Amino acid sequence: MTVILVSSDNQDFKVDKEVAERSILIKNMLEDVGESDSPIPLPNVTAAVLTKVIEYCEHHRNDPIQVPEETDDPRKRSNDIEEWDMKFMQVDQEMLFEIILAANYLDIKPLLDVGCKTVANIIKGKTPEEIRKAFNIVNDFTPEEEAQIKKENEWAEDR
Amino acid sequence: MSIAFDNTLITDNIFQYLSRRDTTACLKVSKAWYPLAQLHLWRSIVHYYTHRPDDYNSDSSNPPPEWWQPIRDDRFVDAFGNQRPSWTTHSSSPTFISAKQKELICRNAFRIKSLRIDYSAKNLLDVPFGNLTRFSLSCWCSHTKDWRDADPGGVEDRMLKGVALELIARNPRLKELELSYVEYFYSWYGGGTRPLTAFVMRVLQVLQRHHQSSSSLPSLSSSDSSNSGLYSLKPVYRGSTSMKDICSIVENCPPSLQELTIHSYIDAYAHIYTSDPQAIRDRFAAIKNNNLHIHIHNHTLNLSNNYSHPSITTPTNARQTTRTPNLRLLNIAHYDELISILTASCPTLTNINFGENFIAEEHMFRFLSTLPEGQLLGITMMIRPDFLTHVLPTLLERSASTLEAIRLQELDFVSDRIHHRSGYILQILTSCPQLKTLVVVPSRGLHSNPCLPNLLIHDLLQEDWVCSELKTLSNDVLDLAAPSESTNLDRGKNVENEAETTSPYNPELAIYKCKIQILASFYSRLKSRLPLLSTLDFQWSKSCKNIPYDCAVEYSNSLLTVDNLRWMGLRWWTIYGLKTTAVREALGALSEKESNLFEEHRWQGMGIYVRTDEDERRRRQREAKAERRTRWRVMYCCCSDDGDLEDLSALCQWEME
Repeated sequence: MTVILVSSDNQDFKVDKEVAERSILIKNMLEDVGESDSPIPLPNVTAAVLTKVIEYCEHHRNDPIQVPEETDDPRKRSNDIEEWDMKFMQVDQEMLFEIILAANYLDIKPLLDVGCKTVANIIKGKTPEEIRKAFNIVNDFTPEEEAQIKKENEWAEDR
Repeated sequence: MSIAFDNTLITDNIFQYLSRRDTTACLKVSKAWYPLAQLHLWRSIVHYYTHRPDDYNSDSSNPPPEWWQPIRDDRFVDAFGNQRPSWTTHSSSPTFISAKQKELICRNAFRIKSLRIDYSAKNLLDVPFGNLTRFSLSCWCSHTKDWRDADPGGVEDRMLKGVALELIARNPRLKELELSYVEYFYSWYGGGTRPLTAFVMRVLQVLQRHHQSSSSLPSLSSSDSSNSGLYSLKPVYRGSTSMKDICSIVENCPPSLQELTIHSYIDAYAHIYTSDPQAIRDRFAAIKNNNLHIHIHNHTLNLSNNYSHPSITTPTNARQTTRTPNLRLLNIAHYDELISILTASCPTLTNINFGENFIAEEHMFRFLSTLPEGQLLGITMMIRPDFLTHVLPTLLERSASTLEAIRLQELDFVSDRIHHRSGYILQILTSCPQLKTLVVVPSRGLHSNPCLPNLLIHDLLQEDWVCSELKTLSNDVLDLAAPSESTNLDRGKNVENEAETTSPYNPELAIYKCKIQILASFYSRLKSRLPLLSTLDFQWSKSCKNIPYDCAVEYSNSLLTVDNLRWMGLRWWTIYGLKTTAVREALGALSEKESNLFEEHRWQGMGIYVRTDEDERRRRQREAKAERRTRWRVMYCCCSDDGDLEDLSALCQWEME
């Protein structure tokens, strides 16, 4: 069974129901709507991003559904991204963040996790200046403010 | 990008992977990033006093600036299935907080989720912590520098406890609570002081109020209501508790409690002073909290040996305690009570953990026979050889269909019992289809030779295993033996220490070939029958270090294929092999990620160690030389230092060769 997804710029995408249901949002919508053929509008997702998202869901269509863990387990690893996923995420930054936002909106947890791990890997090991460069951020601290932050948080840096 | 960072769910998701150093770097990136990074930096605070007794001269007037160590709490599970929170020890933390630091903490108090305090954290007590999910209070007074500070029952002590109670009251979202040494020494001679669980009772009352107030409010979302209330309570006592105390704790626990872990010495004689054991039984029976898992860790504290406990020690008991000083072999008569209470009053018991308490065979048998069939999911206990006749068979008969986790620690299994060990392990593997975890810790008596193998894998291959869902198989064994080796063992000869020879007519070659075959078939059995296996704790390849060179080649080629290497991405697996051409190719065929994983495991001391021919020859030479030296040392015991020995062995080298 196929469903039709409509991006914000009015482009139609035909996908298998199984693939579309990797998105919990779509899954719930389909359950509510029932056996209808009407296309599902996704006003927050552009066509380009939707293409990527559908590509991800297609590749992972047979993955087991993960049960969300309740316990607050902070020991998280970000170096266990699969190869295919890593290549998939090699896009420009803007697209990366669009994918993350789309995964969040559509409630596709694995994709969201992969996206966030990728961003975390970009941040890892960099100095603040390098992070700013990587994300094109302007430094809006005054030098005094910077010095104060540094002093306050010296203890945190040594571990 | 800024839209993404506006969404705190997303930023949480990203920051959770960052280390503290990275998070600190993020603090300085921009004003928008600053609060996000702060949030993650301040998740957890651990501060406790670790005063070393010989440290009275430490200058505490100018403490080094960084002592306050917010860490991410990090729980791990040890081989015995016990979850241990890793509150790390800092052995040289100074003892006071400067005003500036205090201010910093106050500003971030609402972010802190996890807090551990003791007497030294006195000036933290007015910080407005309101969001704690984990809290640990330790009143362990001998650690304070100034003994007068921590006078049990004294002013300081009461103040600390009063404020701790307030903290608990102010933090309705508490999930885990650990109270260490908050009660006074139970006077052994009876009579006397206030009931042992006074403070814990007050805490429980406060917690009850939390629960009542939260259940009267309309719940904000469905997930909130299931998570509210205390999940885990862990009282740690210095003295002893009795069954009556345990009863009162359990009765007063909030209904959300699911784990109760009591560390104390269980005073088996306390019930002599209570007039009515039946009352205790009734109380247990009335406990409505069916989800509660009670763990009782009966440990002795090594501070003073003035427990002149008139326990009835039989000669075997005495032998036990000298061999394993941490084990308390409790008087059998009183565990009778515990067992009957457990069986009668916890009809829905699914998991039982006896910890380090050894329950005698007859009582364990009775317990297992009266437990309803098809109910037990997990069991952790200590076993002795006499358990193999009745207890284990009963366990398997009644609960094999549902058992998911079995953890056994052996006591008193002598080294010639390895047949028995592999026998019962095989029994378990062939009768428990739902089994996910099997941990067997073999006993290490004083006289067991660590080089001798302690598991016969040949036996394990005799029948087909049914537990296809097994994820964890841990035996803590040092070596697995092939059947021919076991016959050698019986004869008292140790095959491992034979000098290496590459003569093709060596009869031992046949033994080694046989061993390789068995290992290979064991391995393929593991692979085919246990597809979900992710933790394997055999260090069986130590014996493979000493097999003759030709056999080593064959062995490496047949075992270290690409497929096998991929599947070997397991933890706790140590394999030694030779880097033959085939193996080199196989290693080359692995993806980068897989190679990194192997590298990581190797650094942790487990993993695949593959040596080139040259390295291997050098290693064998080295080990043979070391062995010769040992032999000389034995023969020429007049040599007092190694210097003499060197010359002697050099002199006699030509003789050896």
